[in-house]
Amino acid sequence: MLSANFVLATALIYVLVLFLLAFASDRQSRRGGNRLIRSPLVYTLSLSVYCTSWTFYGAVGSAARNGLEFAAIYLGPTLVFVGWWFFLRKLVRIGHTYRITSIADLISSRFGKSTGLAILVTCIAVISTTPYIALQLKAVTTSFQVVSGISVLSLTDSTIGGTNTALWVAISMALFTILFGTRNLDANEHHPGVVAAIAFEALVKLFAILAVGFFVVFSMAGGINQVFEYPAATVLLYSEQSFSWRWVNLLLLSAIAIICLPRQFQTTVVENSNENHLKTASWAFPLYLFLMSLFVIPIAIAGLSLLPEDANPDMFLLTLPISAGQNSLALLAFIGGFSSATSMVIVANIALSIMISNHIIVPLALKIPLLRLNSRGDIKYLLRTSRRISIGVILFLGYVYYRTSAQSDALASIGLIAFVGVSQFCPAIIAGMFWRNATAKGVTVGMSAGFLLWAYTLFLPSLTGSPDGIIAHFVEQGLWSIEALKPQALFGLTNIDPLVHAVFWSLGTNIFCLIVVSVWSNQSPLEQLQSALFVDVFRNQPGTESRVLQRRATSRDLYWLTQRILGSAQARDLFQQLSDNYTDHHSLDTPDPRFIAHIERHLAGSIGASTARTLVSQIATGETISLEEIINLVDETQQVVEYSHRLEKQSETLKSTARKLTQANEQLQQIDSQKDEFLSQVSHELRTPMTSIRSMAEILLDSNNIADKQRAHFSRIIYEESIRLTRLLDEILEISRLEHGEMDIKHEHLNPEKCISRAIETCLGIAHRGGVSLNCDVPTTTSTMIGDPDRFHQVMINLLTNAINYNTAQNPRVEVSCRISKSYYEVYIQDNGPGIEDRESVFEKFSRGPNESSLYRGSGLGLSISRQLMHKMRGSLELVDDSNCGACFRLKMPLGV
Amino acid sequence: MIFKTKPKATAALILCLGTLLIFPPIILIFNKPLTLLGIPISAIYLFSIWLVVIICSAFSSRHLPDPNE
Repeated sequence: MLSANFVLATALIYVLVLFLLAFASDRQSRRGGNRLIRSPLVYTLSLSVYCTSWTFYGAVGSAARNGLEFAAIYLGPTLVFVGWWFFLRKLVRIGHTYRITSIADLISSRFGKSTGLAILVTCIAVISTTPYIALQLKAVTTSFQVVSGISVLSLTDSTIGGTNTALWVAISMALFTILFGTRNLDANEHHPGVVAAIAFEALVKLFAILAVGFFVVFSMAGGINQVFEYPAATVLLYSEQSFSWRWVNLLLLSAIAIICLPRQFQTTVVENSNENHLKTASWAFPLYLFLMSLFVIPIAIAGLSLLPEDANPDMFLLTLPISAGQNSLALLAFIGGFSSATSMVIVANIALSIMISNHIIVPLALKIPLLRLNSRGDIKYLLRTSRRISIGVILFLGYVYYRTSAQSDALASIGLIAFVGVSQFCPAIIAGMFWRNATAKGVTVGMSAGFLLWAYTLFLPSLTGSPDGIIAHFVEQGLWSIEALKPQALFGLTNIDPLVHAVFWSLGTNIFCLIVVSVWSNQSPLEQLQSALFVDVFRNQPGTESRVLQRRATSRDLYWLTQRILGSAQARDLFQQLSDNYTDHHSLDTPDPRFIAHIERHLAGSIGASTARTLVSQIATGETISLEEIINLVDETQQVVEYSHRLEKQSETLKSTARKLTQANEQLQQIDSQKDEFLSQVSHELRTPMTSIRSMAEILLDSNNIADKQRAHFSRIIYEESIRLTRLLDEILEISRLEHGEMDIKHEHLNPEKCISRAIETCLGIAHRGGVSLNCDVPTTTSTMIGDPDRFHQVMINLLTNAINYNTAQNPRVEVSCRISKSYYEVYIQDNGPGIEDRESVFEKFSRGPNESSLYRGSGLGLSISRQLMHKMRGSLELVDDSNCGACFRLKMPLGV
Repeated sequence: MIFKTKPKATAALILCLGTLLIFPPIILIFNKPLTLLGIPISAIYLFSIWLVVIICSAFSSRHLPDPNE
């Protein structure tokens, strides 16, 4: 066991190191040497303020109670950062463009720079964060007692005698935050020193949890597999209730919290110095969360198995090393937890103090005539003082909550109360960024209703530790003892997890009211302007705001105001810079609306949009908001959107047309080359008979003394060749008519038996001459086929003569058979000839079989014509793929109904 | 690679798939008293999905345009 003084001294030294680091970073940043501080890595590490002591100690506790449920708290943020392109990018862009200082500023600025809305958001943020700060106090107090052994029962009951420690922790943290967070008031609310310290703390807590994890798994348990062999592993990691509504709920809540928690908004949006950093953070931050939770389950299992049964699971991270006698490791774990707590308290306090001073104290002070802030007075001083005081007040509230809330509460349940509280901002933010017509009234009603329901269903029941037991009674019985008003079973909604119950009622009512009231109410002109600026942040051109908002002010008044808020040095710099940009058009004595808008935006970066507007309005005169310009603005952006949609569509149409054209061109080229080929084939085919006719005629002309027999022979050749020529020309004409669709095809009901018999009879003569046996098997049928009788006959004759003429078998045979399939009448013509080798080209024009007998010499067009004829008759002609010897053609004719 | 040619669609796909895989009912498929290499399957599933989503996100972020531009 370590002595209390030693632990205290270590913590003090650690704080001192942090302070020195912050101090050095601040100085370096002011000198311009801030490359490391403004690097994406430091930005990512600073986001780890999400991992508070709730994560550090509580995750193990949560894992020991509910197994994998703890992971939901990290998976939600993982999803938000993985999808940064769709949401965070816009949020950060809005934050940069309009110099947003806090989440209250964001919501109020979007909804017409409303002061009332800013106050509402600030109050909700303070009230929801109080339990969270109490949680940090509780964690630091408890861990301090455990590690220093102040309480004898520390291993089992860690809360006895902790109240004084908690008070001291609260006071020291307040001092610490004041030193860190309000040292200088930057025009952008950037705190490079704080960010550097937070990044350092992020590394410390990661190192601490990994070190304890390695020690517990590999030294205490003896390896990864040994850890999961403990009976506790099965109990923890398998339960029928896992991944139910509560799991979905936690994922949703944590995804919302990573945006809506005031401290997260501060680090993600306000402290962001470069939008490109999101790119790195999108995977590096989820990786950090992954590493933080890697050892949680093994530590929980080891704690449940190796420590006494009544040990507090929230403190396993400390009690495990202590039980193994590793005091230095326990001290490291304590420093890790201390880091988690301090980083959260510092950033949350800074964020809340900015909100309180900007949105509550300064507007209030402006209304008190005694302070004379309206005309003179150092607003900068007021800002700084009010921030310091509010830091103290916030921590005091946290301490009060810590005293009031049930001492037995586990860390995780306190953290979730805060999550649900801040999640009430989410509908307003999403509607503000994406829904043009969301109104301030809708957001105010929705958020108030959601907040009240949160307070009633979740916050009040957490205060059951109050001494008189009134709240406990009230939770048990309901308001005025009405059953339907029980905080944890509203309107009789029982048998549901209290968290899911609270989220359903509060967030559901919030969203419902926001939508309904927004639809029923109207936006003020300023709201319309702000809505256009926020929703279309990626499309707006600079200077839009001043085009709509016309007003006049003297530059003396403006300068005076700027000096009161930013201090004289910064005011001088700003005016110097602006006068360089604007003097070419206007004299500085009468600044134009653009100049005034620029100044107002700069001031908003320090005191928030609503207060900046109030102050500038006091010195500006003749303010008019041009409704026409607003309508133009909205129209313009819509026109741009429509135009780009139209362009997109047009370019798509163009692309498809181009594709079609290319295809058509390719087809044309193919047809052209086919035509050329056809022509050359035709001339070749015509040339052969012509040559023989010419040579025969020449012989007959030249030689007078030819024998009569010879003369008759030559004349017959001439006659036969000219017949062949005519037939060829007929077929070419026929094919051309077929291809041009000029041939009339009849569609009559035909008797198949009759048609086939007629064709066979015609061919019997040729078959007999060639010694081919022609067999026919045509069953009698009542069905008819549809087609042109003459054309069918032509096709049959062509196929049969081919089968006869090209048959070189010993016992040549041709068989005709028929079959009726689904909707076709099929005729098979099978021969036992040599078969067809080139199955591909057999139907092409001028393709002939290799073994052409001298008796018959075809034109090579027959099959091509036949096939086209069959197509015209809505049938088909195919060469059957058959392993039998010979060729088999199949004719298909459509059946008559 | 699809990360390069359609970075925004890929980013959306990673987000959708990642969300789908850790929500019921898909995650319930792995809520069984089984072990893989001695480690309960529910833990293995959840942590591997997590890691895969992180790796995919790192790849897709590299090819998304810079928000500043």
